[in-house]
Amino acid sequence: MSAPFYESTAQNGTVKGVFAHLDSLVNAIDKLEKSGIKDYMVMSPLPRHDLEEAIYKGKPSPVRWFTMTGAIFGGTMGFSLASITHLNWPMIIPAGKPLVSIPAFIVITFESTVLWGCLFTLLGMILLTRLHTASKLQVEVCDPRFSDDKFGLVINDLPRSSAENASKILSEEGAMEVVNGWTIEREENPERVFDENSPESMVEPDEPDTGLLGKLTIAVTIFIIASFFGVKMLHQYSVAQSLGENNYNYKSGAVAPSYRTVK
Amino acid sequence: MANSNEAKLTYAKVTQDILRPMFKSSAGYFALLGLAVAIMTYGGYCWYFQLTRGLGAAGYQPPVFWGVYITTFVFWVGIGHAGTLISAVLFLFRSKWRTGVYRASEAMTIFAVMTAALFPAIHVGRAWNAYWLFPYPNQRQLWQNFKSPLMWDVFAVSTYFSVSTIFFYIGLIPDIASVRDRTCGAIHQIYKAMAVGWRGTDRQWRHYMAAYGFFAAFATPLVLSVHSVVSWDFAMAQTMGWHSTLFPPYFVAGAIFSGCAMVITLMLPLSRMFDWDVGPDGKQVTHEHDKYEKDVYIGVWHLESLAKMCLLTGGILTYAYGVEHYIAWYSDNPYEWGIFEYRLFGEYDWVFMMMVFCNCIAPLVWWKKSWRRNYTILFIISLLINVGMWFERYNIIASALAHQYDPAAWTLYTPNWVEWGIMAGSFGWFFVWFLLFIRVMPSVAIAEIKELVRPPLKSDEEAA
Repeated sequence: MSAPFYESTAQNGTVKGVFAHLDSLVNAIDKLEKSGIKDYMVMSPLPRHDLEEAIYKGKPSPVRWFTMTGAIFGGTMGFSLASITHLNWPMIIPAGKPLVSIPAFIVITFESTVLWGCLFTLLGMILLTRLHTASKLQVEVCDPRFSDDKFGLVINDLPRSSAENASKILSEEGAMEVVNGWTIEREENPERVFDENSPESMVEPDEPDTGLLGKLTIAVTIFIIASFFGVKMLHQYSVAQSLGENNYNYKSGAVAPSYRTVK
Repeated sequence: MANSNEAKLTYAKVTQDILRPMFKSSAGYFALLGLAVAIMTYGGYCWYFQLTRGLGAAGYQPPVFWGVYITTFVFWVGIGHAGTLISAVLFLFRSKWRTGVYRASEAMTIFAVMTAALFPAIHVGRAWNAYWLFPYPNQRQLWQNFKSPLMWDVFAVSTYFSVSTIFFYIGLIPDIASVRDRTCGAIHQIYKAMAVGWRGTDRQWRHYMAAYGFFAAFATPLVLSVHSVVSWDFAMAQTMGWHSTLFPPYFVAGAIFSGCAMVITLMLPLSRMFDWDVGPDGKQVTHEHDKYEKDVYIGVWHLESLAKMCLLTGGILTYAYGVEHYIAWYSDNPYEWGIFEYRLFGEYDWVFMMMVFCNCIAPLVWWKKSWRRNYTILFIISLLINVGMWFERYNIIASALAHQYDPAAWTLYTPNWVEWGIMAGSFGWFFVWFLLFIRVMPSVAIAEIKELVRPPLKSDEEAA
């Protein structure tokens, strides 16, 4: 297998550092934070707790809220599905056995909890990692060495003086390669012209999109509450009504031979 | 791989070692693939024969309408369990030996469940109506009976398949990205699409690892629940020999037992074929030469750990066989004891003997350390366990249905060529998938192996 050609480059305003050593990278992150640079991306071929600790300071990922929402939604949906359909076509078994039988529906509820919990976790992971837009990640990040044995650090939107300062920090901490977008000699005009006065937003901001998460949670919660009421309303109106038409007092809990034989 | 391997393994070497066997094929590989395709095609022909002539083509003998198909269904679902146990449960326990074998075991799970999922469709006869098993709004407003264990099974197996597939693919993404960065041309484009833009950024790893933990946590109760639900297909019925509260733990233990044996059967040739059991000194790790047993990807240490899992679950299984028979005798219920007596001494006694020999007696040789670390013995016993676990399900299903309450309805069920053909075909189908998988995907998890390697540190170099 041969690797595709990749030239290490950086756009104006971007500084990229490549590290062969993990401890150098962690030190560089600490030093960058001290010098006031908070917006940066770190690439690594494997998940490392020390990197996550240095960048996120132990703040847990919000994926868990998606998981919980999905599990509650799935559990409710599984139980509702089984109950609503049984109430919709009531096969009344003699000896007063309930239509909505909790022990029998536990299996469906459990499986549905697990399935929807997983699907929501998947959705949460895709949205939070921005996997749906990850193919548009900037060229500095797409270095094949970062999936092999090298670590990387990319800082965007730096004015020329800060970029030089950041490059100096990275070199001092032992980066094997530092590319400063401002100092690269280009043959043609750079595609992206950087305006020092109005920095653009980061390609990947550090804070997750909490607005989207909040909207999703509210929407799903409304659905759950609605499905709870759905069970109750269907039970009270449509089923009891149709049973009432057949002169069967459903609410008394009396034992009927069968729904179909009442007539 | 965690111990005593400073300067032996590096991240670059891990990537190189695991990707090396991909896309390279030998004549032996194609011979195996051809054999698997041939067996699968024969199975396909048998199914075609049954589809065109109706279920009468199968060797059912009334009242035995659950035969080889349900036996093989339970067998394949059981095989799947070890993969999830290794990938999810042992992940939560932070077990070190799982890392080398988990990717291929998980692939085995997916393919085993895919195989198992064929059998309800084969078994119902009119396979084109199999979608009736799933709840969907329809114009007649008909819904499934959610109080039926068969319906529970549809939910259990389909959830299991979905969750395992998500878990498997999510685990693959960083490794596919690694393949993408080391290929070019059309192959590169395919892996680029499959890697969904993975670049290993801090944001990606952070949410990925959180989500991965949740997937593992969801898959863990599934290991216990799926085969419990499968066992309720039997235990909920008022059939002697089936109607027992012992069934769920007994089936779960059996599933993990057969699954771990299948993992040994698959991993042993795989590690030999790809030289994944060769230590840093260039020698194969064996019982005599085990200095680097923890430094190889899949070696004698990993296989021995699997054999130990088999010893534990096989012990539970043997105990369950004993308790099952003891309770049947102690209950003083002539119908219940009648079935167990029939299994022991009736026409199916050879099935019972096969089951006891392969599942209870043969694995006992693994109690001796040097024997469970011997590749030949490991392989032979793991094959015997696979055979024995198929016969266990056959013993449970066929004998109980052939001798029910009314002696006038007793019969003897023997599978015919169509059923044997479809059963054999299922093995072909499974191996076609597995053989394709080991060539096009990294069958050892690259990123997770790297987690076990000591990271490159400047302080180490300065100290040296």
